[in-house]
Amino acid sequence: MHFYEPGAYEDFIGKLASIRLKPSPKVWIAISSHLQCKESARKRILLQRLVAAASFILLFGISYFTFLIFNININNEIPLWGHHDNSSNIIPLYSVLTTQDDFNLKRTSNEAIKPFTGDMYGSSVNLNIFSLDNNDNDHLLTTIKPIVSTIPIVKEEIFQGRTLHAYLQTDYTTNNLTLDHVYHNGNITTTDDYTKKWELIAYINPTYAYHTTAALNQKLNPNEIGAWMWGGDIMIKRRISRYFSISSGLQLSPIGQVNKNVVLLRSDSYNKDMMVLSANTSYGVVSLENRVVAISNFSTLACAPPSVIKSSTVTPARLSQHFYFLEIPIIVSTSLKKKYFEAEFKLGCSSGILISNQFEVISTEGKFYGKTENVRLYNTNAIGSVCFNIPFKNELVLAIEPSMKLSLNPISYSYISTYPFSTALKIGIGYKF
Amino acid sequence: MFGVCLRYFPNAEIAQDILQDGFIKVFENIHSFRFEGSIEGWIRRIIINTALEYHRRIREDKEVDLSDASLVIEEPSNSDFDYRQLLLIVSSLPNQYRIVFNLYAIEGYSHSEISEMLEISESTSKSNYSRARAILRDKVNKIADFERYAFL
Repeated sequence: MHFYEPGAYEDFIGKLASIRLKPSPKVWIAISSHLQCKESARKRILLQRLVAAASFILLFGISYFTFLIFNININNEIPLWGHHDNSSNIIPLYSVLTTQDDFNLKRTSNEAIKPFTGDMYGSSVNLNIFSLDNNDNDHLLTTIKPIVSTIPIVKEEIFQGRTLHAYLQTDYTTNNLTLDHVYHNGNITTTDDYTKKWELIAYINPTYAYHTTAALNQKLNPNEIGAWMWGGDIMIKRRISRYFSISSGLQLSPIGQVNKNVVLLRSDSYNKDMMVLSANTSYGVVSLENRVVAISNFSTLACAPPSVIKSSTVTPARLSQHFYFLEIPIIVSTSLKKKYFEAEFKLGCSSGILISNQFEVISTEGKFYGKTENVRLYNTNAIGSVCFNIPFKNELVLAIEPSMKLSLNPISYSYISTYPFSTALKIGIGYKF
Repeated sequence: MFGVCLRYFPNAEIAQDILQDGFIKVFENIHSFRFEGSIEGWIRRIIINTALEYHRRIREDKEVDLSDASLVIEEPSNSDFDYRQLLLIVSSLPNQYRIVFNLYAIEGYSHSEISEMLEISESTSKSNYSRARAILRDKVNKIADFERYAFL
């Protein structure tokens, strides 16, 4: 009986299956660094999501709180003025004004006013809207046609440049206050705040710009500091509800920093080209195209050949890196208004392109300019700010807005841990229309 | 595992890429290992799948240059035979044949499993393996004959 005997082919397969080889150590280093990168990216994403979630919770929390404040005002009405269908007399029914003086003012202004003693909520009442002009306190204005199921509420409003005590209407069944209608001189008219839904705002922004990490290599960049720069916005805002607005426009967004610890080398002989040295910063590498001067961080200078230093004039220099992005933001805001003062809480994002990349080296040897290398041509940012609006004319508003902007991508392709940020105190003028 | 990668792609750089990607997957999914089989088998399966993914990406049937590989591979633990010669023989196969050969003859997958893994028909898998075996048998026999004559 013949048994199958493995031949050269089977032997080959056996040997092939048992090959054991060690890969290059670089593979394990690459795996390790890749996993570290992924881990840090995961943490960053988690942080970003947390920030986004917290921001939205904050935004909606503030909105709800704002709504609650207004709602409490409605529910805390005090009976002051009113008018029954079956009575020709004007009688006190409701007010949101709680001061005794105000109450007395209304009471004494007309003899016909009597306290209302009936069960307001139990009866189906048709209430009239009245207004009382401060300039003419001696009488109540005549009643107008009743608005079914409404409760008049006394509210002080600015109307056509005059302080007006007007009865605003509220829906009796839903307690939904409609602040946009005011009765005055026999007409139901509107206050400008809520009907002018558009606003054009121009800002000028003194900005402090820096980045989230300290210098990538502390030895190379011990003296990096933020830079004060100027930016500007032109924004258009649309009020989408009583509490929310959305705005967009164009922003000139500055990013930059200053490094005071660089050295400038100038060739002793003007005809002799300098060896190319560059300064390494957290925003990228900078080197001068001028052939008789070079700049360097101290540590790289130490690595330079001694002949370069010996044959050069070495002077300390100050390096300023400036980047300007033209961005389109989208910002959602919620507002809190009390009397004439309005605070807006804004959150949003922006995306833009690099329009200017310039660095400046200032030393006693002169000023030199160039471009930071390997800089990303676009950016995206998260924006958060609080805007205080102060009206100073009918349609004009002064806006003061401390804001903060954090870039969501590194500005340099070389240094992935450098995320620029900027804080600004925006000062703007808004025009409502 | 590096040896496994080299069998599928006998080029050191490609094999190292596959090994790197495979081990990244291993570390990222280590929590999904259920301790029901050997960890080596689990890692091996991930590495093979990574090699197959790479194969799907390139889908090019071209000869792989082994000259670069010989520069990078370090310290083979089996010095009793020349692994380079073995890999050189395998590298002479077209990509598709080599993959099918490895999966069937060495890993022990069936043709129906291979057809699913490579998204080919079962008959194509059988045909590929048959041709790969013919090529390899021919080369191996020639080398064996040559060595016998050299010995004489």
